[in-house]
Amino acid sequence: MNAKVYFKSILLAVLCCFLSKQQVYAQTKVTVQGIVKTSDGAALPGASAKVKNSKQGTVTDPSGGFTLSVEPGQVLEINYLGYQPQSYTAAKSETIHITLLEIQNTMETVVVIGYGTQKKSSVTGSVAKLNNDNLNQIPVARADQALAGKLAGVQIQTTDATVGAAPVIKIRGAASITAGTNPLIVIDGYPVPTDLSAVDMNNVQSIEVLKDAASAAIYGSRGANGVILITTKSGKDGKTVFGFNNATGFKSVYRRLDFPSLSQWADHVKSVNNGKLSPEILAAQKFDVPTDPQDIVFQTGLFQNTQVNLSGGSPTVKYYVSGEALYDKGVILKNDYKRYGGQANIDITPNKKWKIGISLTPSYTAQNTPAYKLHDLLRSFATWLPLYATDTIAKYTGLPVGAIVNQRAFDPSTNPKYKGINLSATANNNGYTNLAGIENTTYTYKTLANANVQYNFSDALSLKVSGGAFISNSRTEFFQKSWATRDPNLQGSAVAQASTKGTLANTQTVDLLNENILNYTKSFGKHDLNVIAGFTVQSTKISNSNSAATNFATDDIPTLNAGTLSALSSTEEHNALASALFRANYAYDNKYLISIGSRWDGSSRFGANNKWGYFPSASLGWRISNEDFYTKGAFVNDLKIRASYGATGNNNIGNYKAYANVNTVGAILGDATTLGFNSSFYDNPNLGWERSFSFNGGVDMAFLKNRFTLTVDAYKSTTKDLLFILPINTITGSSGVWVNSGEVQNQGLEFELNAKIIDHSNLKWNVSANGATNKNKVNNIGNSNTIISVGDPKRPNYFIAKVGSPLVQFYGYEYDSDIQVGGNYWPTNVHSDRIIARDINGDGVVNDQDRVVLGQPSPKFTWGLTNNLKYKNIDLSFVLQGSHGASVFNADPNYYETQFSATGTSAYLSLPTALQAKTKYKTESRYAIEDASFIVLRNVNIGYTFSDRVMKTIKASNLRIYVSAANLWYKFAKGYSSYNPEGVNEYTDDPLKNGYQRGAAPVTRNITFGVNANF
Amino acid sequence: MKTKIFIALILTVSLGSCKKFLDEKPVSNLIEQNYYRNTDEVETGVIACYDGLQKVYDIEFKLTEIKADNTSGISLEGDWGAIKFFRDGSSNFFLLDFWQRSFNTIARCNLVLKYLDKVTDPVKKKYFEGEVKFIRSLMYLNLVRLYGDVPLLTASINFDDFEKFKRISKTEVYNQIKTDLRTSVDNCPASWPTAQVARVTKGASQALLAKVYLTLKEYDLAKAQLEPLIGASYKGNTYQLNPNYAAIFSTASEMSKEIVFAVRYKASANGEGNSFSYEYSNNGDARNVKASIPYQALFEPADVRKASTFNSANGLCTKFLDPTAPQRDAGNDFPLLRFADVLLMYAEVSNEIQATPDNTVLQPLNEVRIRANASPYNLNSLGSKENARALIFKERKLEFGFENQRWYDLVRMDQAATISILKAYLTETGNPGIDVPAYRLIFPIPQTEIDLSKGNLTQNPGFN
Repeated sequence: MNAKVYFKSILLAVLCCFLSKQQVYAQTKVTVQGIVKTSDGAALPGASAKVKNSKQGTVTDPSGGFTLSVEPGQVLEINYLGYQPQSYTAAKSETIHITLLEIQNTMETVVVIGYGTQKKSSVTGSVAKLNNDNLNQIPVARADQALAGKLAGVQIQTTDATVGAAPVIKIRGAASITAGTNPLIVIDGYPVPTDLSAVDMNNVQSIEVLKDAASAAIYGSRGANGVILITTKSGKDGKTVFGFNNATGFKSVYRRLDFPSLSQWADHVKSVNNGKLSPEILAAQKFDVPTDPQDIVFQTGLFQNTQVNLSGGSPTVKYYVSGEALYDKGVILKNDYKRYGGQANIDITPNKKWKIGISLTPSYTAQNTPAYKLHDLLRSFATWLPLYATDTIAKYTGLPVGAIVNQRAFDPSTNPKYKGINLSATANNNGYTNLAGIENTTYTYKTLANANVQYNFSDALSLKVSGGAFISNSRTEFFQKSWATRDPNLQGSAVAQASTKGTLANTQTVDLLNENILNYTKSFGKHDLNVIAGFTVQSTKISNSNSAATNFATDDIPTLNAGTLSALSSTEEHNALASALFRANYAYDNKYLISIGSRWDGSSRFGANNKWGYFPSASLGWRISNEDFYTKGAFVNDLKIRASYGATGNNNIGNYKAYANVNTVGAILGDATTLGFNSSFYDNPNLGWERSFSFNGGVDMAFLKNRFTLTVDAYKSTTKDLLFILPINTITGSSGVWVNSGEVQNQGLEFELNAKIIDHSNLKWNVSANGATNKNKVNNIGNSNTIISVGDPKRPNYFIAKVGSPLVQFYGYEYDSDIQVGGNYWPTNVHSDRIIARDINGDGVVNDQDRVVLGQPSPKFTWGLTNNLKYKNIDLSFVLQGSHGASVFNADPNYYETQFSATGTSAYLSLPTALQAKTKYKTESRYAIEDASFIVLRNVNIGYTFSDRVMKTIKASNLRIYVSAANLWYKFAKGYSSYNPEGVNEYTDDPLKNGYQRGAAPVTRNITFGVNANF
Repeated sequence: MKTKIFIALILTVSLGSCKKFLDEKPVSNLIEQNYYRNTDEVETGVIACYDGLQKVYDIEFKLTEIKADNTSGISLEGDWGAIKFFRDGSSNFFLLDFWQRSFNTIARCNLVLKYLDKVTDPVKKKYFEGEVKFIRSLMYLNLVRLYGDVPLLTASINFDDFEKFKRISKTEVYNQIKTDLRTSVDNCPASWPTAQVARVTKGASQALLAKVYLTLKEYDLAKAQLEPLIGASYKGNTYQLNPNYAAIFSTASEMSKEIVFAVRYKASANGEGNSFSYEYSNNGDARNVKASIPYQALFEPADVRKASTFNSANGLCTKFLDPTAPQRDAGNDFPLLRFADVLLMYAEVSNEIQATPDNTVLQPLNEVRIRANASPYNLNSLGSKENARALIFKERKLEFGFENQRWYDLVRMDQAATISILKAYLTETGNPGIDVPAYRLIFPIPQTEIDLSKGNLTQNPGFN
């Protein structure tokens, strides 16, 4: 049915509920009046006060008070989420004061588990939690960047280090080949079709990651890559708190590379060429102004972030509102990111039957991205040429003094005014004009709006109906001026005007969600039961439009009206997901824990015969330390073992893939474009869910009265019926067909250790450490046992997917020896683009049969170590992070060694014929495979919290200033030769070509000063 | 109770309508099962075949002109250089790319044939069949000349019809090509209305069929196809020489009378432009592919074709220039068959049929030379049959620079002659060390295709 009708009927159903009457309990024995407060004296409304082993109970009113009439001797239990429960045995009518202490012990922490919460001690799956204790003090532009190194088995890789770009998040390895490997992002219960840029870290209360299938199965078809749950802050009853956060800092490139200057190169040539220099080198010496291209392309980055928030409320209405402005300027010219965002969370509890929540998260971002990657920017400069023409350069080239210099001014065939020997080694303009002459900006407006109504039928049973919308509008404007890619001496010509280009791309996403969840929570005797059941529907509509123009009449008008329209198109797609879900958590005597879940998902993306998928899960836990036989006060004071098994799915394949789509194509008939329709696809009405079946076993332990806690998890996950574009013979006219075929397996081990090493009132030292291993293996990939994929055909390199091995491995030739460059040794730093490769099978020739596996791009072990130290008013925290065992295909040397010049590519021609036949491109060999391991001091944060005395004088409740440094120390692996080992920035949408880097933006060192204040 | 009613209400509302809720059909695409139902819809499938041609001829030069002796370029990177220097391996991307685009176009032709009986207009039905069989033949002619034996598909297949991936002997493929082209000759109209120009004509079918016969050295049959085209005194009738050689290739005067068949492109028209024009330019990926020095020296100084083929200052291709077009979106048509080709084919056929060359060889050859302002031959300068053959091949080389004809001409010569020409050229252009074994006169079958074929597709000898 259509969504409108659907949502209307839900509304109707909710109204019906309002009409039902409230029930009242009353019984007279003794009257206990209680006032519940927190340790800092604030009233705690909404806490539950229950009579043990009975149905009787209530919740505290706005001032924290409650009144219960009970029989003498009955036990009252006072509970509030996140606080240690207290009990009180009633004896007579009196007023009691109860102070609930916040739970410090991590085992008692409450974790969000998807459609509900649970105590960490009762969790039977694998859920990692991160409280925003100081995440918002890590000054990053995006919430996801703050998570790096914090969670075991959650890999946050900054594949694109330009500002504003999203990192790649992988939870427990890649489980899919063609369907995406991104985890599902859920913001305050709303599974959003976007990334984490939709939230501001300052507004985040906590982040939970559902890692194993049993916990993620409640998100069924979208849970296979794990689920990240974001909970934003909400207001508390009490006086209004005004918060102010500001951070301001600078960024610089962490590591710079050495590009030999002309004089260094001349010295090198003399040493290998009997003291002789080539005519090119001699000619270039006339113009030599030693120039480091990095000085031109890089800039000092800036970071400014201001956030204000207001929170508070009354017993019935609580609110949290915030506004934020961010400016992040990258270290590459023309790279910056602006963000303006807000958050409004309002909770209304008119009485104990009703609870209403409304949240609104609007944001606006503007992201300027360099149109060229770093390798293209840097290689186009010559280290002997300044950016602007000197007198000498002007004299020989005819350029005006001070004009931007391109190497092409030194090529007599492109610059007739230059009469000397050709010194130009590139057909490109220099990187400065490539940056300065191009505008490439994406403006995105996102709003997440969510409202929910909860009705409590009784203390145990409630229904929550929520409806929400995520709307995103993104617009990318691109304009290339006539001098960006064409020489100055062509300016004004038709050729230069033809190189102008403008594009405009719009994408609008409208996503609607309705969820209806029943929750039943009941404790009777030693039994604790929580059951949820419900159904949800979600639909998405995506509209795209693209237009392009060229031949702009002027460089001064960037909008398409000033050019000749060259392309125009718009498309639209829809998808819908309907689900029913169920989960029961049961605990007996807080010792034996069991959780059973099921989700049925129907997706419009699949074939008519296979739209519905079923995702069951079960998990068990045993709290051994609660057994009678367990010695109280033992070294291990809390011990739980757990095991889970479940199925999750993946429908991340784009829309309409089950159909044999007929696409529009065009041909020129007469003089006009004539539209045709072509079908190059096979349909697959059986196309269905990709399912991961995974087993997780874990232990949660606390030692020495909760001073140390340790969680260890082992998992094995097998993804079957992979949604996969099965490569087929292109003889068929098609290169692939969407099928469910193939199998990938991931297994690994994870641990998280938290330790309170020192816990005095003046000195505190907490350490948390995490580590994870993952091993990925392909069990089946369809019709063949191996798939070899090729990267860029100009610089060929190979990836192999092979049954029994990791999904992606680098494949190619073993390096034997270098080839020397001779001749004119021009341009500077010229090397051969080939090496002599090893004849592995000894058959006398080096051919395809001599290729071997050269490495793989996934880390074998990742770890993080967080330290928090506090001495009186001074606090220090730092995060160390490491990744080991991954390799990267690095194309950069191929550009920086100027191998694309004639001398470099023909160097092998001077070899004897037999040796020539053994040459292979460096990119095809081990030469290009580098160790991507690293250890980094991700963040250091030193803060000072002002004393109460100072705060009182300025009427602040909290005031802290800090200085923070990101990537203060970064240890690159030996042999890694570029700027950023995590920067695998090519073929990011093709998992079979993972691990390729070319011109990745550099790791930056950021120093930031900040202040957090609450009034 | 209320709770139960409430839940029941919601469940009824939701589950009852899920089926429809989940039934999303493409908005911006059609589905094959619901399409190709009538004449107009099948015609859009025919248009798609012309789109396929655009894709094939956008890259054909990477396998043909690059490899031929018209061009040189020592610093060609990666897979470009591998083809240029006879080192191409089975994982060369361009070989796979061309194979894919060609078979994709064949599949488009077969798709039209699959739905041909939905065409109710009998005249259009005839035309459609003629057009797609011409295009399919063209694809097979290229494939068989570049890869040797190839799978032969004359109807749409399933992706798991592995048996159909077996290679079929060249002779059988050529037989199919001839049969299909004879249908095209019978079915296609002599001309199309202005708004349809670019579609296959009877004349184009005859010229292509003649080229097939010529390749197979079936000269009498070739002559029979060419005769209706050459007209009185070799001046042509429907198709004629364009007095201005440069104008044939200019975007300002496309589809002149010289063009028998061309693949049409247009700049700034929603992606209907070509990329080869840009790739050959000083900024393109093939900028190091230049007219070779020996090729440049072949032209007489007054020959107008010289300046219209390459830039004498740097050897860059000038035949397909569209300076005001955006990058890789140029408007130059790719001339596949033109009247000069008809004349030179006729001269060649005539020469091969007779013992000694006469005016039927000389006159068509001179028509081409005179138009180019090159000095005409006489019967004496033609000399023997062998000498005349050499002069005709040379003329083709001069006439069709950068038009992807040279490689196909080379491989239809006697194999020893081909190899000696290629070796001489490699030596002259500074690469004496490069060997040209006979097996390298065709390309290896792309390895991924072999890997996916369950053993049905085999590799050419020599390529491991």
